[in-house]
Amino acid sequence: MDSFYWIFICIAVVVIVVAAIVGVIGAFVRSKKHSLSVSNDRTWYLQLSLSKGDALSQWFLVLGALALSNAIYVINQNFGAPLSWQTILLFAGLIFVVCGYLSKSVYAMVIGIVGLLVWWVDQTIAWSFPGGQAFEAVTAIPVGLVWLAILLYVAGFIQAKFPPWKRFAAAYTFIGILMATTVLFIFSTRSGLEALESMIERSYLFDVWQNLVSIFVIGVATTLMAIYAWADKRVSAKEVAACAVLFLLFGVFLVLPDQNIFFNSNYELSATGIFWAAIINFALFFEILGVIFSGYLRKELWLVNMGTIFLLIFVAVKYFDWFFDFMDKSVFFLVAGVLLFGVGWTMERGRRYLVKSINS
Amino acid sequence: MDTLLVQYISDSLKQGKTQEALYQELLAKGLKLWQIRDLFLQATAPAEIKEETQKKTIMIVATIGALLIGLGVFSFVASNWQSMTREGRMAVVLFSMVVADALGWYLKTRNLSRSGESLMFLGSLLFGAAVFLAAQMYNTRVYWPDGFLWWGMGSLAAAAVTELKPLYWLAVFAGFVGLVWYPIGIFMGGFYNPLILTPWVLLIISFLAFITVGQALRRKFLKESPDQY
Amino acid sequence: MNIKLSKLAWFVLSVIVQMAIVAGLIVFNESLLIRGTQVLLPIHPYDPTDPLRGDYITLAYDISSINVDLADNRDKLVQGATTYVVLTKTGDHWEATGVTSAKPGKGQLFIKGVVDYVDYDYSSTDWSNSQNAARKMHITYGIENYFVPEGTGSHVVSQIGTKQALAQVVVDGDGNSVLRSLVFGADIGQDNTTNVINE
Repeated sequence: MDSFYWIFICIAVVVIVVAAIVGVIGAFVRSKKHSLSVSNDRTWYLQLSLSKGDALSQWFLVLGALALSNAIYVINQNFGAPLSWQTILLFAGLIFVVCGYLSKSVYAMVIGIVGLLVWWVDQTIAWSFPGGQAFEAVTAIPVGLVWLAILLYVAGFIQAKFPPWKRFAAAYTFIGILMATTVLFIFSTRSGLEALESMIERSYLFDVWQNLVSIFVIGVATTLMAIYAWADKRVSAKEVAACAVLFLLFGVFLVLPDQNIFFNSNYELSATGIFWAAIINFALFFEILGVIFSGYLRKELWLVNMGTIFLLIFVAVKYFDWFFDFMDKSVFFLVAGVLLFGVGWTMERGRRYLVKSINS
Repeated sequence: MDTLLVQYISDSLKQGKTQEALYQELLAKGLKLWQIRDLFLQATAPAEIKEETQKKTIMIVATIGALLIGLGVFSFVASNWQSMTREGRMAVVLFSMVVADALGWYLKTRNLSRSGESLMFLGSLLFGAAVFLAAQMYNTRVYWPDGFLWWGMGSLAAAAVTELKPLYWLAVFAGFVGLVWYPIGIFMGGFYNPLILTPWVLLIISFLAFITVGQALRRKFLKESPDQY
Repeated sequence: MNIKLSKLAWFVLSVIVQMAIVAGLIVFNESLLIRGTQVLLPIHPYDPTDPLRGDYITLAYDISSINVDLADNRDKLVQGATTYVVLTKTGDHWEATGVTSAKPGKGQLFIKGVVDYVDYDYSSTDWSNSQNAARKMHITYGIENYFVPEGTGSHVVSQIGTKQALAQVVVDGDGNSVLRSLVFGADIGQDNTTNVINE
């Protein structure tokens, strides 16, 4: 399935294009008087590229890494593909991450991380269906992705210990939050729940040893990383607790019994289905709130902004796409609305406090 | 007659006569007010401005002349392109590439840096045209990423020497098309990945070229702003 | 930069590098045309979705799709695999008589290409091993495009459809190939073949 290699390339292109657009907009928005030195600009690490010169050098680095990845791909194909293309994708991801670290290029590093994630997803599928062309869902994938998201989120704060690498740290945390929110969001929808059910029905976790090992490794790595970050005082106890809840929630999916648990024969939600749907939706809601509070506690405005945007999207989508027909929509939204108002009030206070403390 | 008066006015002003007094004098001589004003303007304009105006006029005339010549050459080439032999076409492209680069350099030395830089950029564009023309001469396959890689590296050579930003970005563009745009676009169209016919040696060479340039640019960027990691 | 050369000298050097790249492309192809062996490869009508784009047409060679039985190593038939097709003269044209994944020995004329994809025979009942059901392999050589003077594309395509058409391809000792021109109809067989369409 060459298509995954090219999906990776497509994602790389999207990342580059988005970065270019953001960089261009940023270049115009940034005030001219703003001197771009680290000592003057407190949020220098949030800029994808520090100047046109930086952007240019990063572009060449990305192109170089891309040339090498393509070279390895071509060599492999020319010799009749002794290595599976998943392995090539792994090499490509590693090349990008290494190049990114050797030259402090955020573009390359981000592309590499995305590539490695895509590699892991597809390698899991390949392990589950050797020789087959099926694209079946495997429980290990969303669970692993969420665990990896937690790992990245935490790793970002560990990386932030070293000031020159703060850009990378912000990127790690950003990707982690984005991944976790996306997976939770997918599973909070009706089709997501159906997909989850089909994944659990056919559990390829315990039959395929590679999946077991990889999930185990990811779980251990995430736990160790979180503990280290907590011991090093890079993350607060509350954050670790929240991450642990998310970690365990998805861990439960791994061991759920193999039954039709979410939907009954009428394609309506069964009782268990309602239970899980509620849990996942609440988890998503509180995860987003967690991001906002994390930003509030750390005095990082960008986390608060990111959480706010996600919250708005969440509210907008859920209002129009609520599939709980057992419960009166209005009741739920009233309760959620009150909650939200309270949260919003806290946020407003928190943001004002943040902005004041940043500007002081 | 006018020049004599202008000279007289400027001499008188130098001697210390006031404007008022001069005005009275000339009015008495029978000149109209607007004539006197005009003469004063000519007298008080510094000599350099006059020279500059003359120089500028010459430059404008010359530039338009050059532009017309260029347009003439261009339309001649365009109308006769079909009937030219392939050697003739290549000669035209290479010749114009050299002319553009040479003119660009010349203009830069004459402190007309913007025009010079744009001509050098044109030179690298013509280089790209030459590469693809060479491919066409020998019926090389149409989906040919090698061409973009060669174009990129040639532009890099020029960029490294002249340190012009547009040339660097041209190299980025060419590399992007060759390594990303073509492979994805062709793949989406249902064909094979065009890179599999590209010799991997070329890909390794472009990897080395891009990394080297990227690192060199990064060192330069760090030198200019040392406190950024 | 080395300060020994002046800025002008470096600039001239960069222009020379650019010209050298162009010259290299030309010299490589021209020398191949001069010292290589010319073969005549039959081409047949090709009906792609977009037959005419600008000033070139796409060709389909007889050797573009070869029976899989001729391959010496079926496991290597993946997309992008380098393949060598051995050519033997049959009458006035050349045909594929063998497909190898490694370079063939001396004395044999061969052309180098990459595998595009493999056709399967869906009427075959033996599906235990998908390789058994493979019928034809499609190989690309890089000579599938032919540049024509503007506006004559459709004329050439129709000629390929109505007349016997051959492509003059020059191959060197390593299998690299360059398409020289097309030859039609009754002109085949003479040494001084007059070409209907010449570039």
